[in-house]
Amino acid sequence: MMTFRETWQKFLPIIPLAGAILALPASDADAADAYRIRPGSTTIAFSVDHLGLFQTEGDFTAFDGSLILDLDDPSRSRVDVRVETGSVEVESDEAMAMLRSDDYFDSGDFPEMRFKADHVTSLGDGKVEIDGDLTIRGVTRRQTLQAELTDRRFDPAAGGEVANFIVTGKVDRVGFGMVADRGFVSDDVDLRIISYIRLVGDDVAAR
Amino acid sequence: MVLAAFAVALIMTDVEARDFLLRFWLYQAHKTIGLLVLLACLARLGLRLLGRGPGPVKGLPTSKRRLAGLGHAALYGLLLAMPVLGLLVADTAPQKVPTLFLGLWRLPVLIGPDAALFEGLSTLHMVLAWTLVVLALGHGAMAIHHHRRGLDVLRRML
Repeated sequence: MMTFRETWQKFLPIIPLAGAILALPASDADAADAYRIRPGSTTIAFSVDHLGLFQTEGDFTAFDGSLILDLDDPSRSRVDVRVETGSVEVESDEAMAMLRSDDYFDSGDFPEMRFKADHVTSLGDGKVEIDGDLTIRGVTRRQTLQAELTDRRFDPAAGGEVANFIVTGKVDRVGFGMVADRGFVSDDVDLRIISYIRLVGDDVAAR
Repeated sequence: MVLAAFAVALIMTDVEARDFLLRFWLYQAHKTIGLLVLLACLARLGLRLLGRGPGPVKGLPTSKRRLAGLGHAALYGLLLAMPVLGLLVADTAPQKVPTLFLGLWRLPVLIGPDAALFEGLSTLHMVLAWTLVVLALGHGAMAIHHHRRGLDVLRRML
């Protein structure tokens, strides 16, 4: 008879698979394809400006989300990403501790931030505008981001067509109650999210 | 200038960590003073090489003259090395804070962030800073010492 531990270990690998299946779009009659947004194939980076003289860059290392991409009808595309605020990383340890503190992300009270897009508008030329709810420190505000699919190419290693899904935008940190050090750290935070995806055809699959 | 740079360094590394703006400008002041030291030292060495420097002190025995020469060489070496090392410390620091000479002119990045180099250079910069301050104080003390004994050293230094 299997012990609880053995049973658990046996079924453990199934859990992410189940998650991937659940992430599939409800309707698969259209050309929408679902992708997992997670570390390894996606980077979520940001930068802030200091006195207009130099910038500090950082990124998040723990997040999970889904991207539903409809190339034929971009307005049907959706994004939903949750990011662990405690996974923020910058060059200096001192700054890293500061970003996790109450003054910034307050990771203790708000371990997660989330962007859930509900409106995608095509700007033409392969570019889209994504509108959605951004929640940081428990404050939810409307946020607009720009996105485009670039570097579409055939990748023999991936065995198919690949591309970079690049999302950029400016987030006003003060709007989320992040008001510390305004004399030195800019209000605007430049976001840059790059997702490497293998484009799939009409057959829907999760990456 | 050396003492000013040293004093600013003591303050800037001790200032409330969260007072970024103050810290930023203290570091800039420190770096500007350091660069001025470098320029002044190069100018002085240039004058010396052109034979316009002070001649040997009259009335000092050769052995002591040689000792003084050694001390002065060490001072010049440190005066040149310190600003260069300081520049490299700023250059290799993980935070890409620019160096603004006189708060206006941005110096180009030479090497870029390098954690190992940064650690080594910072330590060296700090050790040599203390060495330079001790030597400079000794240099001043010797000048006063000779002055008291009737040698015309202090007056021509001022």
